[in-house]
Amino acid sequence: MMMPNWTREPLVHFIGLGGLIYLALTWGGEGVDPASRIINVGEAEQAQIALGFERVMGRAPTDTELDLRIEQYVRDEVLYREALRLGLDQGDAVVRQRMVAKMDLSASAAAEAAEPDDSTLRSFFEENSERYQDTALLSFDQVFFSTEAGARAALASAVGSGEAISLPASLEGETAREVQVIFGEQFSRGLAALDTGADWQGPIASGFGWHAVRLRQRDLEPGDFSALRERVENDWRSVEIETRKRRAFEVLRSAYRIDIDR
Amino acid sequence: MSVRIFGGFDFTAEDWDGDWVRAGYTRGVPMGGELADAGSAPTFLINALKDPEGANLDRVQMVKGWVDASGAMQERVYDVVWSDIETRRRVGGRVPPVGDTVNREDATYANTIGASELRTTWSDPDYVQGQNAFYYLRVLEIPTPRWALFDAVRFGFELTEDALADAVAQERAYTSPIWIRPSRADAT
Repeated sequence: MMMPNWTREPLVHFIGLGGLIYLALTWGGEGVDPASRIINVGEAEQAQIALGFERVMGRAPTDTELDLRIEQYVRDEVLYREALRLGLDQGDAVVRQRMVAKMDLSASAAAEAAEPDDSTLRSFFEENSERYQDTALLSFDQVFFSTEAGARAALASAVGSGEAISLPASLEGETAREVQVIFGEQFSRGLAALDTGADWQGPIASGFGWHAVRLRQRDLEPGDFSALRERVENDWRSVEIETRKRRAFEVLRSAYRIDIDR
Repeated sequence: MSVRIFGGFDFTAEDWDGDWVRAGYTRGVPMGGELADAGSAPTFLINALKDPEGANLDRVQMVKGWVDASGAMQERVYDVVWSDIETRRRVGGRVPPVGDTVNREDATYANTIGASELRTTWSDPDYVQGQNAFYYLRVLEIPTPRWALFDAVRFGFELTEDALADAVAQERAYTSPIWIRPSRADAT
């Protein structure tokens, strides 16, 4: 189901949420007032406690177990109200951080569960194509030389077998990321500058020495979106969450005047 | 840095010409493995490849540990292979230092000394039949700046003489040991 665009705006969520709280406070009658000295463990609370037990244990509690849990609930509620009365929630860095996290969560919750459609992901994929460059598939042969002069001399004649080193002499369809892990960043940069072909090229420098390279194939595979779909979706989601948090914050922030002494 | 070691009894320098990893696994044990004492000195295939983004390699050392006849723990370090091995001869039984390219002014080093890869086949010269021993490798890079030197350069302060003398380190990799266990009859 496609929801209209405005339903995804954080501002709308905030207004909606605020409205609900207002309604709950005005219509819900008493509610739980921390200052009250009456603790009412009604049916709703008991159902909540039983449900919590069931989630952990995988079965409904027996009567004794439920009684124990209710006792625990009462203890927590008494201590919680007393703590509020003493103002222990004030000036506590952990409580403060927890409230901040809850605000962030309420702004981004919708994005966590959102199922973006293909066209959203595809346009994200295209806009951020540089993120996915390292998935290029490379097929090449390389021959190692410890000196640049050695490599140049070999390239001028037949390349031959070079010098012994524990690096793969050829790779077939390896990702650019993996090539960088094996050969290092300098080599990857050198390789990126080469054109594909059947000739030996180079020499390319690496952390090990010098390499003559025959770059047989380079597949960027921009069309193979389906292979990357999951990664794109994760990236899209994290970007979306950050964007929503930022927009929600900007809305709230705009209501404050902030003076910073310099 | 990637380090490989295989222990066995019949490895030779010719193994490097073929698929030496396969030879290592079929005719020996990798690091962490155990050899049963066969009455002759164990032989090791030793290979260390530098990190492509890091410093060159200075040397590979074999550390042997054993318990002597009096029950005391003993340990000995052997230099088994090092860079420029033809020209860097042992002096008084010791391999001379690789050198030091670290620039104390800007906390940089150059890979102009050392080697990209070191490999050798090494056999224990002090093997004693029936000895319970372990062998592990230690691979040293060429000297590189320590964090204190990087910090001093970044924030522009002078290191004290003591700190400056200690501003360079040789980073290293260790392997797990290979154990050699005496057969029951020889156990001492």
